[in-house]
Amino acid sequence: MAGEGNSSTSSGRFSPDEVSQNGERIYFEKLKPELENSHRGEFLVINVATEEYVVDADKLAALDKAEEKFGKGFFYIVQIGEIQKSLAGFRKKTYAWQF
Amino acid sequence: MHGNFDDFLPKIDIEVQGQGAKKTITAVIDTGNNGYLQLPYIEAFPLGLRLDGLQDTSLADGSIVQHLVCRGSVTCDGVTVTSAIDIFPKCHILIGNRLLSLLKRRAIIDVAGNYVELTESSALPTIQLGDPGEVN
Repeated sequence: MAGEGNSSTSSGRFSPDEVSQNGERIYFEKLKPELENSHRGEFLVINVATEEYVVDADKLAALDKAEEKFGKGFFYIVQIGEIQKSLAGFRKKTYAWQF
Repeated sequence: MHGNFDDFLPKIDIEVQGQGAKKTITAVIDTGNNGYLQLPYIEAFPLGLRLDGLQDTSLADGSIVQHLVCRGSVTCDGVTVTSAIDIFPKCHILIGNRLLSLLKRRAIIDVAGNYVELTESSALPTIQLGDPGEVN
């Protein structure tokens, strides 16, 4: 599993929809169970291009870590444990880029 | 630095700068908000803020709101810091506690006295504790 490693490949070539979908997939399927035990409430920043991530209790610090490790990019961000996947497979969602 | 109340909301002027433009914006001091700065698109886009990503946030009703996360310079009371800025299609302009912490500012909000001020957090008054035995 990709972790808090070094990478110069950022998520910049992905569209917002792709960052959203891939970020959620990586978070829910690969990271959430493990990170909820050790980093609940902290901010997770995922580089969806490489599936690498950084974690910090402070969002600004997490973004700084992400930039340092992955370069400038467009990342998926979530507060660990704050969102849950709907068991019914349906969840109302509002997207920032839909006016 | 003094602010004012607007419909019982404590407000203060801040200056926000992106990669070019700079603008003075009146923001609500929201001490119940543990974030940095929240801006609506109409204020954020002209500033050319640097886009860092998108964030999923869960609301009380169980729905998810996805918003954009940017970075920019915020100046308040003569102090300039780089802050995370959460932007939404429509929202109130809010200063959260993390931005107050970055700015190293203490908020004095006296609703009854109609008084709003941000001062240096290092300028805390010394609290004089009395002898518990003297309590009447």
